[in-house]
Amino acid sequence: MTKSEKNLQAKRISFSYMTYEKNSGLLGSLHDFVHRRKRAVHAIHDISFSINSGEIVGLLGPNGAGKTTLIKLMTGILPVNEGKIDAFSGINPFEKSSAYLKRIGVMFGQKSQLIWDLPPIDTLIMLREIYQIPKPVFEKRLSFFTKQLAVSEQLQIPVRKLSLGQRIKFELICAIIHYPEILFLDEPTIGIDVSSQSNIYRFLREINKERKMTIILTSHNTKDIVALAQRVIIIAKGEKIFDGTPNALISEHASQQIIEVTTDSPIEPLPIDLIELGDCHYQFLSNDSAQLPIALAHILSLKRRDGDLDEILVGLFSKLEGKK
Amino acid sequence: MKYLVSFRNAFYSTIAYRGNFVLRLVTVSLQIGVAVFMWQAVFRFSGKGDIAGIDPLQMTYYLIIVNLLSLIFSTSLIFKFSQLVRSGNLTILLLRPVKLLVQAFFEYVGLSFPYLIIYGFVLVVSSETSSQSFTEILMTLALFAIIYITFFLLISAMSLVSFWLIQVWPMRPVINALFMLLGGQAFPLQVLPQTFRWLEYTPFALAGNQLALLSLGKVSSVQMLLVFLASISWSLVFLILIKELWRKGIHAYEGVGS
Repeated sequence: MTKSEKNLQAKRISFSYMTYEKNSGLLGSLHDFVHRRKRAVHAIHDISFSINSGEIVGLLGPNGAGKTTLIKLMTGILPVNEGKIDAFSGINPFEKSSAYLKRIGVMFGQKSQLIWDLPPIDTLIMLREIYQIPKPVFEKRLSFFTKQLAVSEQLQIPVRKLSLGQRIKFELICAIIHYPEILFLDEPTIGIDVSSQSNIYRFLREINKERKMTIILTSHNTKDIVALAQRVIIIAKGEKIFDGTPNALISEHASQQIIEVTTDSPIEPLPIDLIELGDCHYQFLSNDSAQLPIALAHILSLKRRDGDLDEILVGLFSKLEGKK
Repeated sequence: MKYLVSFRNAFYSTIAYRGNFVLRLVTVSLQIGVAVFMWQAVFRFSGKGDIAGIDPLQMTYYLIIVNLLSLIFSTSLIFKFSQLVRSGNLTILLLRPVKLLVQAFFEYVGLSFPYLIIYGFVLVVSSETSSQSFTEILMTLALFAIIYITFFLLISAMSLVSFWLIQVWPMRPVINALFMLLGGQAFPLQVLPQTFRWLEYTPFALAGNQLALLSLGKVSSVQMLLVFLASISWSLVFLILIKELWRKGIHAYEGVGS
């Protein structure tokens, strides 16, 4: 498989669903019982992209931007309303064909595929049978994965007795035990300590390099994106607003240097372009305002520095929030 | 083989909580005790040697078997599936290259396997009163297998309403009442007037009443054939229902939560 081969292609896809708004209080509840106010949510709107084999793509966006919905569309959990998703040149993910499901691996940080009452090894043996992995190959892989992620000793312990971090590591092993061609990771480092995070990053980079495994991940932890992603797609309010490398994202917003301000008292109300970092400690993008958004008399210190990905995203997202 | 592992895991899960397992057996034993004492009283005060062709000893075996069957023909699948839809964890299962209905069946068997063993033991003991031939025992087992599949399909079809009905727990007392009444858990349906005898061929009656009577050798060859035909017909109806509900439900599924 060549590096330029397309694994996934989304052509002008849109997805919307119906939800309802619930009134509060007794009267509201009674009203809802008789008449429910429905509302259409346009979760994804006219998004196009293609992902090549072996790429590591990070999906970023504020809460409710549509990242997880996009993953659900790509994996085939949800059907697109408009447009088309084409996987491996000709497969429609929503058909959930065995041919497609065998080639993908999915890990949702907040959903578990481990059997709660049994040790992880039982779930893994079940996956070995489902994906028809020869026993010696399975054992070799399992030994390698558990060693890399430092969970060899927890294989026989019931899942309910494991820590969150250990469970997440086993979830990851479950997602890759069959060496999928595309690995979808939704919040892969949720609840994981810093040293385990770096373990996971190293491990994922290694299998991406060795197996040319395409990795598509969403995370609120920008460390995940910085450590792994070769490409970033930013989604906001269901629309794609950026598609490029993390460096391109930083350089595109490099002109927006960060000004950190310490004041003598809390600022209330907080101006829209000001972000609170701590007690009397704020920051804003230097080109957001021609003037300081704080009265000079309250400023104790000022510091200017270049923004990192985290800050660029915070600035970008708060701008989008302001436009709402 | 992949489905056998699902069976094994479900079986392990059932016996993982020893306390719960034992408590369930104790609860059913109490139910059996109440029903047996009630029927002994009915026999004593009516002065009859048999009721609807069943003598006191056979009635005791009937009540033990029918209550054990209520453990084997579990309805927990409905609530498990509802939980999967509510939490969005169904997503994980949808992304595995397996036939979900087949996998669910093997899990269903795995969950009831310990009770199947107990049922088998009771059958051996009760066979002394039934005087069944080897062929009849084989036919009973074959009918048991067919009815087991029918009931699984019924429960599967019912579980699919979870796509639309977020809370399915109000169904629990209804289902329990259905098994109690139609399944013959409290009394054999044969005591009902002739007008209601058609109830013997409803899925709950097949799973409870008919199988318990079969085990006691109280079902004629003609009735066996009718039970067989009813079971096959119900299975076909449920299969069509499952296919249609799944097709519509999967579009309604949102895979809630991230």
